[in-house]
Amino acid sequence: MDMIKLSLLIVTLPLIAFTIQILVGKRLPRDGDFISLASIFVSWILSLKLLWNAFSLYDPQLKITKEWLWFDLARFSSDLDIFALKLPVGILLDNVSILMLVVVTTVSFLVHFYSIGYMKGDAHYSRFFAYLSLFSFSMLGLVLTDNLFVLYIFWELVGVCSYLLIGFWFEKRSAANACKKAFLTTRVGDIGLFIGIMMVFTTLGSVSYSSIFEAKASGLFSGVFGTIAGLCIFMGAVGKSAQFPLHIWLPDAMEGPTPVSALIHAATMVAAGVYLVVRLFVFFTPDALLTIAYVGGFTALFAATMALTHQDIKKVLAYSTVSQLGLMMLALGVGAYTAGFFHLVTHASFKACLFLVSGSVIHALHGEQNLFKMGGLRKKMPLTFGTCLIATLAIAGVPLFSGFVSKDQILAGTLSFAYNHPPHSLLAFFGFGASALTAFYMFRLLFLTFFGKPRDEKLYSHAHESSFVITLPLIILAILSLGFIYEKQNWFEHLIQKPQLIAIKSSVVVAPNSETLPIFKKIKEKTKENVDPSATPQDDREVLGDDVKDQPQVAYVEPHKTENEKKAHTQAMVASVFFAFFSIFLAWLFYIQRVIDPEKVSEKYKSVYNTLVNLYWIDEAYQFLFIGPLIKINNFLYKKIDSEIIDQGFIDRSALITVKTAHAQGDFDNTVIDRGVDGTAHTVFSGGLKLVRIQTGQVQDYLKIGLGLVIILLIAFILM
Amino acid sequence: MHSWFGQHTLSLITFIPIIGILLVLSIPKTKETVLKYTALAFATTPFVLSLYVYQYFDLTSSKMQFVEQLNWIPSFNIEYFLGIDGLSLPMILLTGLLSALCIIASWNIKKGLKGYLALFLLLETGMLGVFCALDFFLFFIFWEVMLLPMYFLIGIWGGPKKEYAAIKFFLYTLVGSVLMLVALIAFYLNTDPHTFNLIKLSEPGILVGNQISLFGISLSFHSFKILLWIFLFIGFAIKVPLFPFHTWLPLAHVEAPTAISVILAGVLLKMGTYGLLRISYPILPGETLYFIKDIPLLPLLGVVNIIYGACCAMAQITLPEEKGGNDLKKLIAYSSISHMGYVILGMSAMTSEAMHGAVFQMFNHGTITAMLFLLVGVIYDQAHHRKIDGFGGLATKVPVLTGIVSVAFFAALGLPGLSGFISEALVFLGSFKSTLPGLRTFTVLATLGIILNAAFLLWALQKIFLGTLNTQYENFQDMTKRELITLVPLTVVVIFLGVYPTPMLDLMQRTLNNLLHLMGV
Repeated sequence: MDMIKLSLLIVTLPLIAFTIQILVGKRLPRDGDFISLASIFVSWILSLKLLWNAFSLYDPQLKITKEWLWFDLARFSSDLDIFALKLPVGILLDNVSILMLVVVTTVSFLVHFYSIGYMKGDAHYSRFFAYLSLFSFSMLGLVLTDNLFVLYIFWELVGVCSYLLIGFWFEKRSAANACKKAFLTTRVGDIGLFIGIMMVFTTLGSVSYSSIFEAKASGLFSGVFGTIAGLCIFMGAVGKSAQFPLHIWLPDAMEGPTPVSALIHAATMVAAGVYLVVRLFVFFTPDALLTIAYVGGFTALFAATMALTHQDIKKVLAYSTVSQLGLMMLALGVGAYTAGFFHLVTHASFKACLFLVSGSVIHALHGEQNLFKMGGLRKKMPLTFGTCLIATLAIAGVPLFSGFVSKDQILAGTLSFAYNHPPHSLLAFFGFGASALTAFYMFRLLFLTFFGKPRDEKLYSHAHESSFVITLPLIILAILSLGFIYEKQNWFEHLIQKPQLIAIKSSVVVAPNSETLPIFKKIKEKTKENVDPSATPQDDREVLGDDVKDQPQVAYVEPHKTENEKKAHTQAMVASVFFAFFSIFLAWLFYIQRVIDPEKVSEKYKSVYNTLVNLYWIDEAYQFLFIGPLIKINNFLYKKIDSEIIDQGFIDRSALITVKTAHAQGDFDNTVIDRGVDGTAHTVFSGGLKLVRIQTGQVQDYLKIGLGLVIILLIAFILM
Repeated sequence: MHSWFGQHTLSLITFIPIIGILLVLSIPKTKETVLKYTALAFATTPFVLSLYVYQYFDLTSSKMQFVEQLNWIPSFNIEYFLGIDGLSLPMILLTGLLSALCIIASWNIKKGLKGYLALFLLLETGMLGVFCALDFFLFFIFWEVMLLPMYFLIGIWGGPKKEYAAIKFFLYTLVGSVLMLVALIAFYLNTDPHTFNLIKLSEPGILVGNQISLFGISLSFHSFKILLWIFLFIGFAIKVPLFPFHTWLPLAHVEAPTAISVILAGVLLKMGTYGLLRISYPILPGETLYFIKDIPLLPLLGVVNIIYGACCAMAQITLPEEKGGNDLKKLIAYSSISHMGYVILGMSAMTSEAMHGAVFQMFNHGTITAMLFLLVGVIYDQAHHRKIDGFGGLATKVPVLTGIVSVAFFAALGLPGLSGFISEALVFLGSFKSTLPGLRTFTVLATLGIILNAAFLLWALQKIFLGTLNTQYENFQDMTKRELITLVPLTVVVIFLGVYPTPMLDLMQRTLNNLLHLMGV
């Protein structure tokens, strides 16, 4: 079977499982969990087969695509010369998407497996698996698509799966709130993504990745227009990958069952934002990339600080996820493309492992999530502890573990970027700061959970190691967090290489509507005048072929293996190892040796502590700045404008005026005119009666009378 | 096609419900089941016939199809002229489907069943006639035929404030009709030979006239045409309804019985946009463009509708009942206002994508909003109230209802995979692509509707279905078979067209592209 057919099968199997589950799942034995499990297992095996193919080809340029027409708005109108949307759906297989497929199916399969134990006995067991299947389908579709429109479709579908799964225990008020918040917050970002798609479509008349790259290579999407388009698309990634300032939904999303947190809110869906930036990497202008780097870097450090003080085991992990995603964004922003995607891959396994560990602990403690009620669990749950230790070492960036390999590359990337662009040294600080804090809070979590004396004897006494269904996925994910898997022959760096734009002559068919939108033209002209040379460094630009030399920057490629980079690499490695060990040591002093009492520290720096515990009051700020005013505006519009002014004020009043006028006219009729009319009528009538005596044939007389009346009324009407 | 049947299909579609009325009226009113099934059969036949029409509809032709043309009142050149194209066929399919489902949804009507069914069938004839008619006079007659049964259906079978709602609806629509009548006569008088034929009226240069003096002010013919456009526009805008002519809608919806709300939102609102596309656009193309390009009235009102409707819908959740909020049906009524805004925005962008999006949205809004109103009916029938605050946690008790409500709500908020998304996305893509001044800004503003719609729909969903179960509803029953029969077909349509919109888009593309072409865009 060729690779396209394989990938089609990979996507559709979970969809079939979903359909069966949602329709008849409840009536099947075991509530049909085996259907979802089997489908994702087959998808997983097939993805591994694809990866095997990719390995045997071992070609960085691997690219297989296939397209089918979905709809065509000018299908029967060829004679009219109408330029209309023709939308294909297609599959794009390259090393990035194949690797992503493997990541998604691996974690998804393990989570399915784990859920059989974790969700056992839940009232909606079958629905849970249905949702998991739907999610797997949507996520795989998102990975495989070859155009932005279809990406947007799957992007929203994973969002709705996330909504359904966060709100899985919707009886809890907090869960019901959290799922709504997650959907709406990410939708704010999605608006940006959609505007970005519209900008691409308007410019090119197409939304496929390949046409975007072609256009980019021929010089379109550069300058301010390109930056704005890029940042709009990035806004989608900010929402989905929970970057500042749209990160607020992810910690709340921990209301969902823990396997869901592991799959959706750690390993796959939240990484979709990073994946999007990876996919469209060459599309982003230097300025856009710089913004991405700052957003990512800031988020990485900012979220790490919030993880320091949280008491809920899952929320610590959630902030950690936000922070790690920030690191990936930072990497992509500074041009460390491979490192960014690499970290996505390694992060998926160790973070999924950590979440599943927390699930195992929560399960053992009957739903307790507070770190300060745990402790000493390592003896009771050795397997869980062992896997947690490996994953923690990995995320902390200790050598020999996967996190070290990828994080080291990111830090090296930021550092060399800082060397090349000293004004942006802050980015390196973000990176190092975040990873130092990561090591600290992760070991805080580890120590509080598994070391020391049990803080809650009752909980502790009931604790026990989880069953095989739960520990097996932990073990597999822990193994995947070991460094040697990724280090061998540097296969990752070979397969995932930073895309280069090949300059081509403008062969792209451009929509007749011009390249730059009129609304942006002005901005473009304005900014052209005061370009800050430091913000758009010249030395980083790839020199393209002659025919496009006069066009502005097209791609953003860092210099190859310069002195700076080599220097940065060594320094980064030394520094990151040092920071990791130092932080672990600090955590050890804090939470094992108790040399430093965390409570005293928090007492001493009360304002800082309060800020962190209250998560910088961001939710409150949003409530105050956006949600509150919005509700007030809505109420005002409805109550004042709609009900009072338009409906009662204008419509009803005009009706009332009509009625009153009618009454007035009626009065006028009765008093003034009717009397006259009556008088006339009386005259006519009596005259008629007199005529009756003279003539026969009453009918004609009445007709005459009627006619007379009508004529008189008409005259009265005209006079009015 | 050439058989008698093939040549008179549209007449059959339009008038079969009338035969139904005669039958319904002749059945004794004690035989309720017979009455209902008779009405159902006659309400469904037009839909079956419209499927036949769909089967033989030529997708590649831009001409009117299934044409029937007779001289009706020769002295005034009034024709009995029926025909359909890619604009009217989707509407006829929609009307047929919803009418059939609405009879099923009216199964529990007790009061004056016979009269109800007869009026409903008359309403169906009116609606189908409007979509088939190609003679303005005939169009107007069907338009008025529709109004009368609607008045009685709201006024007799409605809720507590039914008389007020019915009168308001009637007067509002009547104002629109009067203005349309003026335009109709003006068209007639300014053509030579005088005609009401909509196809002839759309030919360029057919409308000719001189200075016209009105109330002592002399108007050039050009200004006169603009005045006519405004008259027609107000007539249609009341139906859509466009801000600020919309206040009849929430009231009428709230008071009307379920099936009538469905027809009102599902079909009657589309008459407004259909009228614009069938009459204003082709007959007064220059004036239409004037109100898009020179004065961006249409796109502006579209965006206002989208945002204003969504805001008012959200106020239903945050405002208490005594301040006029907290009514689920009103929330959905306002969401209709918001969703019809997309149609207007799409119609005013003058690009193929947006035009397709607009007409597709007309169809999709018809099915989605019908689902929503049917679902409110399902809830109301059991709870006897529609307070958004009055429920909570129903999802634990009624999984099937929750599932279908979720599909409907997600379709309404434009979730990909469901039909509403395709049409909204096409409207957005096309409007953003449009080179007409200001449309990009309007489109970007309109994207706010994406988030506002999601906000109030999910919020309402949460208040009613999520959270802990309100103990009052310990015994809340899930959907009955009859309710499922009304909702499952719509659910299937919404999902199918969301995944595979091609059949519907193919149906309309030739007509719409041609319309754009004729308007010189």
